[in-house]
Amino acid sequence: MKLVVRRRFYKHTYLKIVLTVAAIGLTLLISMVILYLASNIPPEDFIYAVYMGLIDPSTLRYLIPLTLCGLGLTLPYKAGIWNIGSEGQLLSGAIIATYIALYIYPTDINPIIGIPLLLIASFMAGAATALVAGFLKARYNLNEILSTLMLNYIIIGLGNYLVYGPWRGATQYGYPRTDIIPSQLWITNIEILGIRINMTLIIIILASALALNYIIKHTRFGYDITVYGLNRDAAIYSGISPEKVIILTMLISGGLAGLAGAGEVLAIHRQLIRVQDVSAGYGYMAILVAWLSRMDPMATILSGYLVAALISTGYTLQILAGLTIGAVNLFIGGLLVLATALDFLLEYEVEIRW
Amino acid sequence: MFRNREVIGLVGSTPTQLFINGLSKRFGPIHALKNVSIEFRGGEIHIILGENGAGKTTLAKILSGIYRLDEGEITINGTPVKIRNTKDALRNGIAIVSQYPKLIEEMTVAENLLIALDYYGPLTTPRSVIERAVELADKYGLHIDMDKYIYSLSFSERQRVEILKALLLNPSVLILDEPTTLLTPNEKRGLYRFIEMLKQEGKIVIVITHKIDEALEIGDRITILRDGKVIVSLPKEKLTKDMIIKYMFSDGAEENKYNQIFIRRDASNRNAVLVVEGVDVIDDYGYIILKNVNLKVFEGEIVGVAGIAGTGLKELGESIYGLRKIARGQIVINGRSVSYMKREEIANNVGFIPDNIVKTLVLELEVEKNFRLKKSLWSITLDAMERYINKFRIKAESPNQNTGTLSGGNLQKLVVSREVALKPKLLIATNPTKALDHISINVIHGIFREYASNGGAVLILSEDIDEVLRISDRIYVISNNTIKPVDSNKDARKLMMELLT
Amino acid sequence: MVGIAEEIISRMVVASTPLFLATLGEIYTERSGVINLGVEGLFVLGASISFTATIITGDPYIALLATIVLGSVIGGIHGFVSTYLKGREILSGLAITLFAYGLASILGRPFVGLSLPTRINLANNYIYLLIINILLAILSWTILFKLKIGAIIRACGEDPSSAYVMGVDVDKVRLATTMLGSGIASLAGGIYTLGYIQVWTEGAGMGWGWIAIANVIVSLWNPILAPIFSLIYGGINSMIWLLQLPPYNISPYLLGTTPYLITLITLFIIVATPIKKYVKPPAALGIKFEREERTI
Repeated sequence: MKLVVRRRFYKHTYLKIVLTVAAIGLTLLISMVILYLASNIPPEDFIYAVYMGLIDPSTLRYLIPLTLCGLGLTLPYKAGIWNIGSEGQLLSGAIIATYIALYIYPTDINPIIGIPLLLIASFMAGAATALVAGFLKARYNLNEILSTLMLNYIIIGLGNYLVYGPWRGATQYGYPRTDIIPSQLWITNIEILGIRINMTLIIIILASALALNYIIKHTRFGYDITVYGLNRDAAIYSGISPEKVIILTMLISGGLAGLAGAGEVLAIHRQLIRVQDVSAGYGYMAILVAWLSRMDPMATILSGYLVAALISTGYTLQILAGLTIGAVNLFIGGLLVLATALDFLLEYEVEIRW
Repeated sequence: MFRNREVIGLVGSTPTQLFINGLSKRFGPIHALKNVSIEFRGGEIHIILGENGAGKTTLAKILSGIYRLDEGEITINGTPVKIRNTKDALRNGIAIVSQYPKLIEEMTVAENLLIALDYYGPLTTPRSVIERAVELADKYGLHIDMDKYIYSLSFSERQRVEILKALLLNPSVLILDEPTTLLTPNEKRGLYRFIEMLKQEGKIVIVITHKIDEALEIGDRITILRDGKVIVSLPKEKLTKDMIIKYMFSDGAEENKYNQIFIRRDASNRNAVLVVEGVDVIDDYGYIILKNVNLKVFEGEIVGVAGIAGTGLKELGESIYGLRKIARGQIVINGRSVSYMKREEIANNVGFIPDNIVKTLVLELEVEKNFRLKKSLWSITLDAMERYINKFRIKAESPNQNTGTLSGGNLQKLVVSREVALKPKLLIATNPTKALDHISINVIHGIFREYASNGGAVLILSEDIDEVLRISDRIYVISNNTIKPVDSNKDARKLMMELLT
Repeated sequence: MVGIAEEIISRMVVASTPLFLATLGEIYTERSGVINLGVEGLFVLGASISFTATIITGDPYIALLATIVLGSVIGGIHGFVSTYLKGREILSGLAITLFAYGLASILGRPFVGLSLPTRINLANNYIYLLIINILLAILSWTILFKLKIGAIIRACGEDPSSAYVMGVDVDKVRLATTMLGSGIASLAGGIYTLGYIQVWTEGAGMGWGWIAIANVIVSLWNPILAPIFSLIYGGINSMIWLLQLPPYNISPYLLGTTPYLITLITLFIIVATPIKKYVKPPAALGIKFEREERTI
């Protein structure tokens, strides 16, 4: 038997879908086996948990931050710039939103001005965090993977310092959390067909997806990003500015992650809590969201849903089998590595000869 | 720790036979080799002759395990062998000296040799190879400092390292891919002597070349490839130069290539588009590769610079295009100093064809998207694009075809057509017709001429002397780390050869 | 006073050892051209497995051996994806980290709060530990820069296609160094729990792998330089917590950010000062070896 492997230059859409589905199936299978062997979780419980994850309305709740961060990552990842800092950028947005709502705004602020300004501020906070890494990369060629990671930890520490220290709320019985933000600033859910949906954030997601889709497919900037990601030499030869690509993609991705942070505070918690409770690693999971969609903003919504379902599955397992939510990383990591591995079949055609 | 080299030597010195049978190799849609069968005999210098793109190098790379074969069989001394990788090839006694030395720049000569020699164990030091290497080097008159880093070596020194490596490997089959491209006549004679010695030892020597004279000078048997097929495989005595030309080229167009029948223009009273003054060009490692370069290109003329690969031709082009910092001097395009121009401004005002055109193409995108790579061509109409595609005879089904599926020659033409479509004041072309068939060469040269007659300024940087002679109004040659003008009206070819070597 | 100085040095050495080892492993991997972001997760996994295996078997050395084996196998997945399968190695490395986080959490879960039956006492033997570390650095330097095996590894990281023409099986070498680096990273995690923190809670060891990857740059891909930042970092990491006590009373959460801040600042100093001319990553780092690459 002989394998003949050839590079593909045309990537079929159906193949992307088939391979993604295969990766998901394999990941679930492998996770099921590992959980059975290591934690004695019966396969039927696992299957039940996955099923619950797919239909549980709470999945929509995780979809929002995941998809926002994932959407943001489509641009830098298309350009081959590895922003791993969505987690920190999300938290920056959450911190700034809380700060302004609690300490800057008058308590009777009009929400029609108040909410949009909060969203803009948190976008800017996330963008600023990402830009630290973007600037270091553009100006000094400092590896963005490391700088964004370091920034994550720095912001996590800073956030916890605030909720355990100066921002600890007077009305919170000593718990590490801030006071509740004024209720007119809450972004509330509405009920559609019995499912509670946060329309404001869903609309923001849809609008961002459409805008990013337009940028990538129909603008010169989107084209510059694509070229920069596929062939850096070609980008330099043709006068595309790497600095511009780095700075703008980082800015947009950080901004969207910051928005996600504001969403968590304004729509879910209504206060800043311990940062590990604000984001259970959404920023890292968003890497998978962006990658599963192959950096297609419209498809990101779907992949955001899938990853959200995995988180829901994790919570169900937590209740069923006493696992911690850290175990979700098993699915996320497993799926990411399998999707990357199966990419081989997308990039190469393999012919088996006997 | 390692096997005795002499034992390997004995195995290698028995006369060898190598058959290849029904060899085919495909790259995407391109059939590089179609059902090739050749018989190689020990004690014979076997020339594989063909035009660029005929499949010679592909054949060499398959034999040496660099490429995998799709179909076919290789037999050594009657036993079929599987060559799946370079290690298999080396184990079967097949070694290759590549056209451009394949050495690790960041390592010393001794380290490079050590890596290549299988009979040294993983825990040996570079010291252990030096003694043997120096001994052999002395015997064959190849003087190299074993502790020097490869990046500090000149091209001919690197070639010497490659040859020394081949000697140390003591192969029974040695493939030399265009071995004389970079060598001076003196070095060439040394190489021929060396090849002759290997032949006396009963080895198979396979020389890949496109030079007919060279083939007739050193070969015992000549196999001519065209379009990936064996046209003929005969002892040298049965072939004449005329026959060879007929076999190599499907029609007689080749002779035209060497004619210099056009009238050179004098454009010196016009405006200078490019002025290069006292420039020191630096290479990738920060060394000055060209000193004090002075060069002007006027409106409406084609200036050719000829040089051997690795002597700074590529670097000169990149410096003018602003991709490379210069150590000294200044470069002025249209009255503006390049060092003050933004990359985008240079890119949109200067046409540039680099040595490796893949660096300016995104193979994953469509032809149309590649045509729009430079910003000033972003909104070019499909009609205009198709006119260029047709004019350059690019074989593409549609502008939506994936660029990666085009053949090498068509990719080259795509880049040239794009840079011409930019309608720049200055067009810099590095080896613009490398790997092209002669029809495409004629098309591209014709377009350069037309471009110059419409007032454009063209700078051709080429390793192909004949190309430079053929289309340049004025000629420079890279010699002794600088460039020198050549009087194109006298016996330019001879002069150039002397200067180059 | 001597006692305190010795205490400080001993803590520094012990705390630096896991970081030093993980860095050393990653230097081998990156010298062959592969970036392994899985180091972070494998460190955390090593921390978890060594702890559970020590409790199960009662023998920390058997536990460490198991840790190395499992670490190199899981790291091998990354190695395989980023060599033979030509996958995006940044993603597959991150994926391994997440996967290993998950596995560490699941495997360690039943053992939270238990204590080790036997301890490896590194603090009392810190001088030997320091000597071993320095010898390891010298040995690795010798292997990488003085022996054929090292030349082969570096050839794969500098110019894989030339290495291939010389008969080097590039993907195999890269897979091997990735497995080696992964095994060492897991071992480092094991030493972190067994020899340094001596308890296991969920998330133990998180962040150390990232620092190790940064330390590879700070060490300029040279094993000889790897102990330097490791010791500085180890010192800071073991001492900084004292500042939460009176009279300083600095928040532990704020103190927790300093190691990362210092790493980021160190990286910045490396790339923004004249030191940057010594920053020469392997030329083919992160670049796939394509055998039939198309140049024209």
